[in-house]
Amino acid sequence: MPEQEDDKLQPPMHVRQITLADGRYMIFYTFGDEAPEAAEKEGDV
Amino acid sequence: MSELRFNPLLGEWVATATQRQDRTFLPPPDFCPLCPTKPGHFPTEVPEPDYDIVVFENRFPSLKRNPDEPVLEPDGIYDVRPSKGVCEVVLYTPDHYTTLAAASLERIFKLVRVWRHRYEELGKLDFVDYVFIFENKGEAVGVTLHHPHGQIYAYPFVPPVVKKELEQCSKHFDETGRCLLCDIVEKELAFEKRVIAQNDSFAAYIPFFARYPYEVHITTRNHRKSLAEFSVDEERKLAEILKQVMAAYDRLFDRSFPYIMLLHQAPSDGKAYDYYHFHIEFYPPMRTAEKLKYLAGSEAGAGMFINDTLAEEKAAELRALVEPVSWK
Repeated sequence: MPEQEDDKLQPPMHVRQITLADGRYMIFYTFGDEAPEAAEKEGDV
Repeated sequence: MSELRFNPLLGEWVATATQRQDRTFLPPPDFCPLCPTKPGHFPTEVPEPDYDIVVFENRFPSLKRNPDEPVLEPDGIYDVRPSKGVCEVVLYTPDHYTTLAAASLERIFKLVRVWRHRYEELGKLDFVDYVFIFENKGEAVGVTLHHPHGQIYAYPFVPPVVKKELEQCSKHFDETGRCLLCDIVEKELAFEKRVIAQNDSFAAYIPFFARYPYEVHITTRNHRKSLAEFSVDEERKLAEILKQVMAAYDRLFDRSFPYIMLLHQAPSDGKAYDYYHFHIEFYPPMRTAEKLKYLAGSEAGAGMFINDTLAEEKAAELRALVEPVSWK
């Protein structure tokens, strides 16, 4: 399938990870063209 | 305190996790720890006023990245080890009052992509041999928090049920040169009477060997070992068939239908497992609108399930309730 069609079917997924007060991690997944605010660790998939 | 204790009779590990006794139990909606934290309101586990999908380490985990040392030393036939692994909670939506069955295809598709990402990321950890994605839904299966969510356990070993499936699939491949689940899907689609729904990429059926009255399996029609091998179209088709099956479940007794949902896919221990095949299994505890199927003596003590119903009849009931789905 052409790449352009893949992009339409699958909007970018953004991954933003934070560390909670007790040391556990929490990962926020958002989708769409706009990336959320930067935090400790993030990436686009 | 948490540790893994070995059962020498069954050759299996048992997680002892005493901190789970005090975990949050059926709080009222205003005190739901999985909702977003709204300004001026009760601080929840999620320190933001909104989210799409969130994954975090379970506050009451059975397995931890940095576990404590066990309270007892290994002693001959009684082996014990730290409960090393990962337990994650996956919040499907910020909406406390909905369910995955009622969610849009777009949301379920997002979840499938998150599942894939977690499977791949947790599978890279050198202490993880198996990434197990599942959902417990409804008080009837022991759910303690109603907010729509699932869990992920990253085990330091291949768990017993999956191990047995792998052995059966390997044996079938050695004997026939074919994938067992490919053969099962082919038989179910040919027989038709146990099929609930299908699309280009998936078949949903009550299996020939169903143990629960409304047990449904969703299996890829092409040979895929895990979510990591899915195309974008297969991820979308999975969202479609999940929605169809879960919505049909809710129509059965005209109420939100309890179930255990689990994903069986290839282990992450570095071995090939080319003979294994991705599939999802649903174990619903309801056998009628009013009655539960309990795991009693034969099931729990001997491992032989007794199904009081015919798979073909239950499949006909569910199939009649499946409706087309559409993307926005």
